[in-house]
Amino acid sequence: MRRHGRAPEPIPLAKLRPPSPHPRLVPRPDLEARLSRVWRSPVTLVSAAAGFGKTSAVVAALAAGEGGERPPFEARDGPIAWVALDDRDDDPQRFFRLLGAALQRATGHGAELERALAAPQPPPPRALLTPLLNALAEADARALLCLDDLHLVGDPRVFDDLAFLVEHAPPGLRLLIVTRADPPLPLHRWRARGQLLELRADDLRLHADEVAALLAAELGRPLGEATVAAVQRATEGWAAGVRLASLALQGAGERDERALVARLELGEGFALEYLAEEVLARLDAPLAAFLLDTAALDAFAPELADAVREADDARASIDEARARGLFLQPAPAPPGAPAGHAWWRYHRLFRALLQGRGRVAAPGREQDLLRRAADWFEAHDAHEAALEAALAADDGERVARLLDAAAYGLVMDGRASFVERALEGLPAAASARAPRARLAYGWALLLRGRYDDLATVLDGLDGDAHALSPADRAQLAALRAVLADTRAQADDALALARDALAAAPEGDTVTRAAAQMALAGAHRELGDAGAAIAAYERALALCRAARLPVPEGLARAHLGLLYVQRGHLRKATSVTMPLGGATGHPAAAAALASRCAALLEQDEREAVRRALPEVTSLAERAGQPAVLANAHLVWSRLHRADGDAVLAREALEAALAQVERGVPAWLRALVAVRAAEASLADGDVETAAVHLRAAEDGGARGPVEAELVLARGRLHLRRGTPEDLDAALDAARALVDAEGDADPGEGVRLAALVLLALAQAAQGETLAAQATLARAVRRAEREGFVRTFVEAGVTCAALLAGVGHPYAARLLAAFAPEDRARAGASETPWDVGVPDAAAAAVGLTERERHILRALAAAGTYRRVADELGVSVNTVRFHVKNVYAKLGVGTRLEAVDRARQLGWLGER
Amino acid sequence: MNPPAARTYEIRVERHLGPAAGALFPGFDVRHEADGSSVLTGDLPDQAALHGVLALVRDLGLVLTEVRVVAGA
Repeated sequence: MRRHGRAPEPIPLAKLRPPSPHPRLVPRPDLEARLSRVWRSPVTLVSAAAGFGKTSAVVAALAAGEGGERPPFEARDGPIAWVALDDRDDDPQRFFRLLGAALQRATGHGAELERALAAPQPPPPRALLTPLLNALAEADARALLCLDDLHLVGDPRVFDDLAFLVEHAPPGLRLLIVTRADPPLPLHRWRARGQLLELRADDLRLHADEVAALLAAELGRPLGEATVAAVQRATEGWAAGVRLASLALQGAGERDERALVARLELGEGFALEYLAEEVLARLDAPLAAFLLDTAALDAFAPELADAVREADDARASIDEARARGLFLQPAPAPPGAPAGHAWWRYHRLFRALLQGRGRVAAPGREQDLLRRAADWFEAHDAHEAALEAALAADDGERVARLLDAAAYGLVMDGRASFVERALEGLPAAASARAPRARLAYGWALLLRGRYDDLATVLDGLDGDAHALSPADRAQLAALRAVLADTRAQADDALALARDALAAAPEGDTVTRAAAQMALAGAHRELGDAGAAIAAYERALALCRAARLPVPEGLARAHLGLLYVQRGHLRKATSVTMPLGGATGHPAAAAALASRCAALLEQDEREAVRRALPEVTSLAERAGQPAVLANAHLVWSRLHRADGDAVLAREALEAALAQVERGVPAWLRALVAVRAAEASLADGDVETAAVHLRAAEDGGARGPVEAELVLARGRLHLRRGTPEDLDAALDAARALVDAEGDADPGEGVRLAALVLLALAQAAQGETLAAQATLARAVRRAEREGFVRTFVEAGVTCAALLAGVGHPYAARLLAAFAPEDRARAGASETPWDVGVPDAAAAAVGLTERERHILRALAAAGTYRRVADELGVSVNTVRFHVKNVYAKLGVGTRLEAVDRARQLGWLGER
Repeated sequence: MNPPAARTYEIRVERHLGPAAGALFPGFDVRHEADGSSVLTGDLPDQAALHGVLALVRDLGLVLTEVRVVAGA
């Protein structure tokens, strides 16, 4: 049975309903009065062992609040959000999904939490709690959130988030915890702050008069003082013990009662064990046998009980056990159990006593019963329940077989940790016969991004792949492809992904989505941006169909970055628009980071400033170095756009630090390229060269390779020697003219045009430069490119001033006012690099500055003379004065000096 | 997959446990001490198993007075 993209398992309503209050035999007004203070305390902890009557005390107190004879709750009470936990809820996703459902029922808020956590790849609950708490605070909602049996949860992530919830809860939200063991929450802190109301075993113990009243009510007759005292001492007021004692006394003659009291007064032995034996001894043999047998099961329906016992008295026995008050309670149906049955289970304590008795009475019978229970569940297609019975029976062969059939469905239902535990418990021989279970576990590891563990599982599957069906082998190939892609083994990834796609059944969207993701990643790594985009688009559609938000977010992120490079800014901003199911999801962070990159290019700085902090914190929480590196790159460009070079550099350092934590090769190269550009902008040519060498060594291919060529060109431009300018010109022309497979995309082409224009300007070809820039401006308008121009600096602004196009004016407006002013004040574009004040400080005249700049850029004295419209001798005259004022002896020194002073850059 | 080193534990609870209660701790020997307590001795593969046993002690309402490792198995 294979199900894809299916709806999540519904939450049984029984888990969200408080148990109905039993008519109480012994009223406990003191206890209920204390409990009624729950509305005044942020947290209430009811902590005591099984059988102390914790839940019934809470339920009675809550019911009293709804108006009974007893004094009602405080006036400020509100609705109850009840969650009855079981051992399947020891998982953050399931736990907080229940919590969302309960709060939704109580307050009308929480549906989003429940819905988001129902996905196979849910966001971390913490990301969803803040909006929920805000909504509750805004609505001034009131609710008492009751977590019953919290001791069944042990996952530390649950308690981290639960503590967060308590610390940030609005005043209307109160928490009540019922548990057998104190939870790992900061109880001491809450206690110290007076935020914790506690009821513990000593508060719950029955006093002597209460024991007397309870026994009298159960037995319908008053008991002697000695009997009451003996029961009180032996049970220490433990409600379950007192109930057991009353059962043992039921139908006991006077002599039996005296014997029982004498035995209890000896104070030896374990009183409960003895009382349970007394209870069983007084029952009819068939009923006692029924109790001992059914105690082997977590829960049972009459049909199941008859099947495992090979009998037909279950209904009658259940009725009789109920009538005698033998601790039988309605139970939720086991997972996947057939509908239409009524399920029962014993009180935990009574069940344990019966189980122990049963093991002594008939060794080995428990295993037989459990094996037959597994048969029954299997016959009813309840694989998970069958699996649990087989696990309890310690039947490794059957566990392997069942796990092989059910594991995939369990993993896709978010029960990966159950599969993991079951697999780990298997002996190696049995595990070898469960290759599909290990394959399913591989998916679980992939969904959680545990690639190293995935590699171990896949290696282990090598020898057993022959046992897999062709469709399963397609899954294996897809998993291997994804793994190869994460390790930048692009050729392997490509081949494996193609195998997987060829063999995967049409309906297996999960396998196809994974294979397309791997295919796209390989294309990207191999430099084929067009094929990568096509594969990511296909992957995106499949991920949506399969409800896999993590790869969906990654596909969107990649598409966003690729579209920016291809010049499709509008497509980039729309494809990165998250994400129906993934608000607050780390997967959304990746897409949002790409979106910010596209928005920043359009100079939508406000939108970027609003979105970026959330992106960064989401990615930090999820520990995603690649997303963080991307986000820090955007931060760096944003700070530079805001004119803050220090923050820009810090953000870049942060991006470089993320690269060290491990990112794909293409991103490593891209960060190095951006670092080089930042160094150039800061005037640090040497560091820029170092970064560029690092990017080259990283083997940049495809879109990043084009970025690298651009950055190299900018470095040459900055160096400014005639040879450098020629090299810059060549690099820019090559990118502008590239066609077909080599086409770097419109985004890169625009940047290349801008570089070409600057190089032309530096060579004194002002008119050609303006023509080139005009071409860029016309092409930029369609998609709204802005920062590519602004980041090119003040020379670009000066050239833009001469471009007669409306969009050029729009671009000019995006420059910093001082850049605009400097550009506008210049007579000619090529001297704007020499700051007026600095030049004046060494006493250069305006003509001498022109000469100096021209020397650096243009080459021969003849050419300089022609450009300035003076004679070569006049040029020589000015040059001598420039040398003197700069304290240098040669032309090379003069240009170097001017460069050291930062006069020959674009800014 | 190598399991973490198993250890032998001694778990002491108040009161003498009878055979039925003892049967709830499979793999453990039950010894009755003169002071009225019981000592359960058995091998456990890891800490998670130990916590499982301690949870059962708690659920039975037994008073736990000592847990110690006697030997690495």
